[in-house]
Amino acid sequence: MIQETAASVIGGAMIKMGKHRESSYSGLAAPAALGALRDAGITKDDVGAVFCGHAFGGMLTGQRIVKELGIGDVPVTNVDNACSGGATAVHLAVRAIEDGHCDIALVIGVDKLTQFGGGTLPLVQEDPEVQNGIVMPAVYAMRARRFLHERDAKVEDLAAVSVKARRHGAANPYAQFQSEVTVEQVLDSRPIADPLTLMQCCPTGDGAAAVVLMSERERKRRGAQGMRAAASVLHSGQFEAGFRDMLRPEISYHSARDAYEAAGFGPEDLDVVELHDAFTIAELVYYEALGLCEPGESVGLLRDGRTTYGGDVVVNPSGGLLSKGHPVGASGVAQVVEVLWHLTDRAGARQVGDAQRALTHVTGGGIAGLDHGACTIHLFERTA
Amino acid sequence: MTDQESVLLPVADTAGDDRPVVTETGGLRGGRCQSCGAGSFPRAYICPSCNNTTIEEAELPGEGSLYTWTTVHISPTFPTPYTLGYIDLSDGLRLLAQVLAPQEQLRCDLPVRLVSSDQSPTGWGFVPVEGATA
Repeated sequence: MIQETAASVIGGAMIKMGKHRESSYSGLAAPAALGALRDAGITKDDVGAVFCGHAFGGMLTGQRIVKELGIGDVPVTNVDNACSGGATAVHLAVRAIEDGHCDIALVIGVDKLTQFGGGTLPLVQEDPEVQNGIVMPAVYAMRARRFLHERDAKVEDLAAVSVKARRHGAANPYAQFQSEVTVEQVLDSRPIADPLTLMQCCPTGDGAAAVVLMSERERKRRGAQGMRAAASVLHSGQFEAGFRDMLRPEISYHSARDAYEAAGFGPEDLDVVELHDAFTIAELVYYEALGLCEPGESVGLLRDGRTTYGGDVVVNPSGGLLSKGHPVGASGVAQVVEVLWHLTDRAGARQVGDAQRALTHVTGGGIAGLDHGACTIHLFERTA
Repeated sequence: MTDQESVLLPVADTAGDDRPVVTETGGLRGGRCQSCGAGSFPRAYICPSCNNTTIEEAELPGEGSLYTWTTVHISPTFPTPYTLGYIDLSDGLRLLAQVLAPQEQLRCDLPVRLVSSDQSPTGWGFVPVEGATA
């Protein structure tokens, strides 16, 4: 029995990810927001609350976007949780509906990274690790180094993550990169933070995505179809002054455990996963954290093709952050749009066959003493 | 307690401290909680373990092992390339620091020690302990 206040994603839209220097934040996000309303079969007047995730949009980003659509007089909440900001906005919308604050919520995720002119993601200078020269690729590179040390893995196994991502992304018209690459090309691309090369890092880009969520009672009244949020979990990292196993990121393990418990189904039931592959090593570590395989088995899972079409579960059919792109605040919402398309049989050439259940996972930020600042996991199930 | 005494003031944690990170005896200038004994680097002002606010400056050990490392080729902070590593100090604290050695000398779990160095953009870092192997 589904509760009347259970939340479902009914509509979604995103713009093509890429370098959109000629667009403002509202220029990026308004088309996605309007697209999501139309996809859900609602108008602007039906929206009861707006949640906007972004990291670099500045003050009142959400209001700057929705005023273009004539949406006002409703609560608009702006959310920063670094790369997890968009997914955190989805989480808040789920909670708002479950708690009865509204029946229809609009969620927007957006960021424009070309405003920084390239290079690594700007980090907060107050952090002691930033003052010592940390950059996001270095965080993951050190995780990769330890992975290669502890596991029976080679740099070619890291590169294979990019090869899969780019193969998937080649079929995604929304992806920033729509071309395939080889292991050799990945490893021969320029070094960023050893052992990670350029093609093992998500690109700089701009993008936006939006979804409409509805209560079960409203969904039934309208006869709308989509996917129910079976679990919506947000965790923050726990400060640790000493040893931390970088191959066992606790924030993702704990979030996944809580999400499966809330949903009543497990990793073996998933058909589609969109996970946080900002760098190649992340995908391998997260296979284990999300329970797609036992700890120590991630390299074999990828090598055996069990995370692509024809395998156990298709991980990152969109091409993931490595191929689709990673405008940080947009990514968590874009993941939800991607799995919505699969769970409603609208994913075109990259459709995962008979997709019933999906997981989205996105972490946020690197700060000293935490494995990550935030982690959001959603589990979705096709509405009956 | 008078109203005046109860007024909270911020921690002046960005006030400049020109003293070197490496102490005269080769240790690391950090902090230690006077209540629970937890070490911190940089020195904490509120103990994350017990929330006590009496944290005295303390010399932390300058020896540890290199958990992992990377050579960074793109950075807005310092000229590249430079090498960073996570060092697990002998008293259990972990910190990020510059690693001052050629890549071919580095291994995970390699014993390393703290040094002051003009070669480091921060003025300090860790080098392999001579003759050590991981």
